[in-house]
Amino acid sequence: MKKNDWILAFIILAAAGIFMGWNMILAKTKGEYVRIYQEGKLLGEYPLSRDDTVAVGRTNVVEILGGKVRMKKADCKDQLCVRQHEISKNRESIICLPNQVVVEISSGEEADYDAIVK
Amino acid sequence: MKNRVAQFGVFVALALIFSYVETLVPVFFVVPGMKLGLANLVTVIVLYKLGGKEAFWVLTVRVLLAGFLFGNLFSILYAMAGGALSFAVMVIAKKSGKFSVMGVSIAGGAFHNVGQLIVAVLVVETYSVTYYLPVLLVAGEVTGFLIGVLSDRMLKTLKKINL
Repeated sequence: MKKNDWILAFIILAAAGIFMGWNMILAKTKGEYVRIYQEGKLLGEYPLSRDDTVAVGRTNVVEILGGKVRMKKADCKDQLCVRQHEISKNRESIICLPNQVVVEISSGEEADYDAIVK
Repeated sequence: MKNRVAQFGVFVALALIFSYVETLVPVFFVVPGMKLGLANLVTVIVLYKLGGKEAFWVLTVRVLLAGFLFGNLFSILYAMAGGALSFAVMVIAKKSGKFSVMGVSIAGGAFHNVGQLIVAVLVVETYSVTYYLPVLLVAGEVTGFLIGVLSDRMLKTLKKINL
């Protein structure tokens, strides 16, 4: 390992740290709503305070239970979204990439940094 | 090996096998896109032994074949995006002469994930995916380092063999 290798490794680590810090600052509030997007379109916004089960298209099922959200069922092959732990804090998200489903916790104000890119 | 085509085929086959073996290893963190990057071992070694153009084609053909064999259209898209960005960065890093094989591989690993994340942002049309950037950057860096150490070792051993 040359010196430059270490510098590079450190820079990448620092960048990761900065992004993580940014995420944590934005997430310091407990979320109030969960937004469900499919293919970039907002399908609905649901309060975390009410237990619910939401079907997303014909492919995914999102469950809101006890103030936490998880992907209950999905027809994707890797099932990464289903295996992910439940989310409840601001800006946390569960994403089913194959079905283009994004489930994100928000605090109810405008979408701040997470604009829908069209 | 005298026949360039046969040699090329061997490297692609090797990379394909690594790609496949990877899918057999369970990843403990449930973060989309995490993998060991074993196939990158072949990319790095070809890059150093045969040059950028060869390495690029080995990579491209491997990604396409792996996509057709074990994946789908989307996986080809992600792998190409990650592979292209990672490859470009590695070539630049190598050309600059400032990094060792480890450094080049670290950059490759980290940027491979960045490339995939960029495609993910475009596909799902929200920036939410960037939530995973920190983990993927570090994971890419670590696997890049490990692959780099392996590549370095292998290149030193292969020094005596002319390709």
